[in-house]
Amino acid sequence: MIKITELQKNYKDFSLNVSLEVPAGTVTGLIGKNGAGKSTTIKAILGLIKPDGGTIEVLGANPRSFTSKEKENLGVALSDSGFSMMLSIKEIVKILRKTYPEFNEEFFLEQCKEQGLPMDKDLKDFSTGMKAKLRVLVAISHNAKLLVLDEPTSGLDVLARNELLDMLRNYLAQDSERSILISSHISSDLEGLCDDIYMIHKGKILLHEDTDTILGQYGILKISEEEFAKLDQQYLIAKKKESFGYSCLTNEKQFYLDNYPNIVVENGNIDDMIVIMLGGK
Amino acid sequence: MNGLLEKDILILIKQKKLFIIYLASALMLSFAMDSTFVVTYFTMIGSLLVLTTISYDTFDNGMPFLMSLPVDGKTYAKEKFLFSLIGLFVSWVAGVAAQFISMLLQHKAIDALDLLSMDIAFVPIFLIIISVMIPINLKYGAEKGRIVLIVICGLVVGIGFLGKKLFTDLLKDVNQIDLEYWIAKFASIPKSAVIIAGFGIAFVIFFLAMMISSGIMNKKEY
Repeated sequence: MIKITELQKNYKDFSLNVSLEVPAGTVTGLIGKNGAGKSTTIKAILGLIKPDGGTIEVLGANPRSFTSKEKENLGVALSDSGFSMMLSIKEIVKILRKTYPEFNEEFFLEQCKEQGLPMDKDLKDFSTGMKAKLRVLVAISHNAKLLVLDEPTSGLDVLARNELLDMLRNYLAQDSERSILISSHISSDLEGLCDDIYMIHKGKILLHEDTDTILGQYGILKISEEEFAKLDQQYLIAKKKESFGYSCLTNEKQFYLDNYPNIVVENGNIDDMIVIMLGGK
Repeated sequence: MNGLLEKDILILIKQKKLFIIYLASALMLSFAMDSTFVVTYFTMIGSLLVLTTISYDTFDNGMPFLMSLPVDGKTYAKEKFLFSLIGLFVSWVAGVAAQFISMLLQHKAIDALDLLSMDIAFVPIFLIIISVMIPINLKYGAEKGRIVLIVICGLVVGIGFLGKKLFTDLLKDVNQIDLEYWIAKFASIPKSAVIIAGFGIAFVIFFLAMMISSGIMNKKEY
């Protein structure tokens, strides 16, 4: 669905250099801090910026030369851009009807009703959660093969985030070939949805791993300096200095559980991973 | 393209108050001013409405989303030109209607053919204005576009002034050119031929501007 090889984009104070792949039928997460390069990567995938180097293939074509027809297979939700705030859902339906030949109006209206989105109110009077839900609904209501979602859960409370993620799960359940690339800085959203995760930092991919592997094999060791000195460090990916000694990230949790029964080994989660990888050495 | 047109029309309809003010002021002016004024006023506002839609598209960082819809740069530019043509046509017809109504209400004698030929003669000028304004607005945005337009106007006036000076100097040197003869010759060209030539030139500029605008949109980054 998406194949990015050595994508480069240089700005005055930021350089992006990433390779990434989203195969058919998978949900891939792109996680990183604000300003890490998630949105720039997504803009490149959508053909909104011109790369300085590398290649991007989205649905078999170069996104910079996408035709209108090819774009019909894409469902897009951007965190900071959408329909004019002057429009209401009723009016957006009229636009979508003429924009996407496969726009499923019945489904869209039904979902709007289910999510409690008002039909006649202008978007400027919508809450953050309503706007976010509408953006995702627009993306999933025209039978797109690929969804590209930039921070779709940003600014939402836990309930609204779960509802939105459920919408995405339902979308995936309808066709096994559908794929999603979703960026977020909220790791718990990605843990429950993604097949694999790319961690991006300062414009570079720091880690690419299956979510199951992260949750199953990755672990955090919390050890004192003395314990650290005696530890076999060959399976440590990163470490971070703490008041008690070190927090260490490993992708061989079982090795340490078997060989060091006295040290604390916590299960891996993306948030801790980010803290250690981005905050440690 | 159809979706974009729908969006622009819906956004304009939302500005009902603006339209009411615009219609009321045009009608009032039609009583006070020369009857052709109301037509030019209507047409000018109507043809430049397209610039409002460009501003609305860019407002609130709307362009990245719009360009991720099934729309390419060329289609976006073409839609703006088509929308401007629709705006020009509708407002011109409305202007002419207002002109005739106001003349009837004032019990003025109406020579329909003469009036219409006057009214239609302005249209190529608006086509050219649109052709200049759209690419500037697409390239520089509404704010910077205004500055660029002022610079262009300044350049045009400057070049015109310089050209006039050079032409006068040239006439002084070359006595063979009989200016009055050429002015008389130009005046003898039938009005219809001048209007047709005006439309021809305006449409050439219009299509060139549309091509340039497509290029601008295809190169743009969001």
